[in-house]
Amino acid sequence: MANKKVTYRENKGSFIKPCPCSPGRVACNYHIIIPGIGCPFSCSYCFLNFYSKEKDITLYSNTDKMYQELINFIDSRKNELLRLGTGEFIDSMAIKELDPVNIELAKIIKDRPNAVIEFKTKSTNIAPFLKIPAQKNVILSWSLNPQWIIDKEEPGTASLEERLNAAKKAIAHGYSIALHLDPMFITRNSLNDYIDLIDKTFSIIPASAVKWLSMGGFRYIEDLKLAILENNNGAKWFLGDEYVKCEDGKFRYPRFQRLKFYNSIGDRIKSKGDIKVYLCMEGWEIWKDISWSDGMPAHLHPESPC
Amino acid sequence: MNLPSEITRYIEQNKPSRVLLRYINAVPESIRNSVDKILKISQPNPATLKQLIELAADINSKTGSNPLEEPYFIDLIKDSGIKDAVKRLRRIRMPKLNKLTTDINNEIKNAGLKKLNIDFDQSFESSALNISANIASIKDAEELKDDIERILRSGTLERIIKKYKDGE
Repeated sequence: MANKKVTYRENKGSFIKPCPCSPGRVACNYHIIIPGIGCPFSCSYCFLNFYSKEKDITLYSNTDKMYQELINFIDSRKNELLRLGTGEFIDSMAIKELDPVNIELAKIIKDRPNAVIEFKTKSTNIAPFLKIPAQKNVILSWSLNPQWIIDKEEPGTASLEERLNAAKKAIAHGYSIALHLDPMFITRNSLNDYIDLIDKTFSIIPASAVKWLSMGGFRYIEDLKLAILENNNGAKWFLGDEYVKCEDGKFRYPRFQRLKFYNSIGDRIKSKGDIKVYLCMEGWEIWKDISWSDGMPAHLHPESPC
Repeated sequence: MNLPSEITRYIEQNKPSRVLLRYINAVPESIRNSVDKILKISQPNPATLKQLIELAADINSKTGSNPLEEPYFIDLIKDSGIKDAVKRLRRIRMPKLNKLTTDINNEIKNAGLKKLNIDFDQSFESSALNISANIASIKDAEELKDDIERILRSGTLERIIKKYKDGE
């Protein structure tokens, strides 16, 4: 793990924001809690490479304001099912300094059944969560990729095996988990790697413990591409793949390639159990041809917790 | 960063965008040096230069070699101009999408359609083809009917749909 410094400053803005998704895409009604910005890891594809000018990690010092904002946010929407998470601008669990904050967030949400909170990570730092009783509305989640992609693109993160074993321990303690295959990289042979990843995952993790699973193909805007080039001596293998510019301005693998991946991998996931699967930042043009969906994104089903 | 002399001169004269400047600085040195050589024989506008650099960097990422150093490349610029050279790079950069586009266009061309127009999204993002016709008379309608029967019977439409939707 890169040795990044943790600094503190006050957040003068809002701590909770709706996930912006992308224009014209099917949003998943997710809300982001922002305890800070930055990540101890240096994943090559991460939007933080261009989004955050600070190379170190900033945590917000006025946590009391964040807690109060969360309480007000949930209590003012008692008739809504809310899905919140801290893993958008930060790795939720990899930063030790965040441990007490995470536990406090879990405590706040404990008696608020209309909300679930997700802590998303590529680490194995689940120890703080194992020191408290598991909560139904606290979801620990892991981003997954085949090991060769972790080796190449996610330096310093836990290995696939380590992530799955951490998830297994969390489940044994009583937590539900979520999984994210995002970003997925489409190469000549990687479909088989992702299928193998699903098989391996569900040989360790019981499907019944997985609250939701998301998939998203690698996508970028020009600023991210430039940041990747600047950070990698002007070259990175996946930048040479074929991408098309979509209506939201992001470059993605061609539709037929994404669909093949989403359908093949989604079918495999569904064969493991009744798992709620959704796509991240994809539009109806993709959703309507998804083989494992009945035409309506899973998270829009009324009974869905997503 | 010290940039090669022709690039420096180009920047002074053209005041390119921040994005182009970032590309110039971010790409491998071998590409910068090739661009410097190219600027001695051609002065593309900044948009074309950006495309050239970006495509060269993408191909370099994929293959590990700088396409601007291919022996034919300078000759191509001298003979056909930089825009044709950029088109050539784009074909190398997007082999699958280019082949699909060519194949579909050939299918449409060879179908001998009189009334029917078959259009498709060149980025392949739309989920459907766009098929249309302008009908002003019964004769037009009969020709349209013949067109539809022909592309259905010959399997042309099925092949086009398969290529467009499945990329195969």
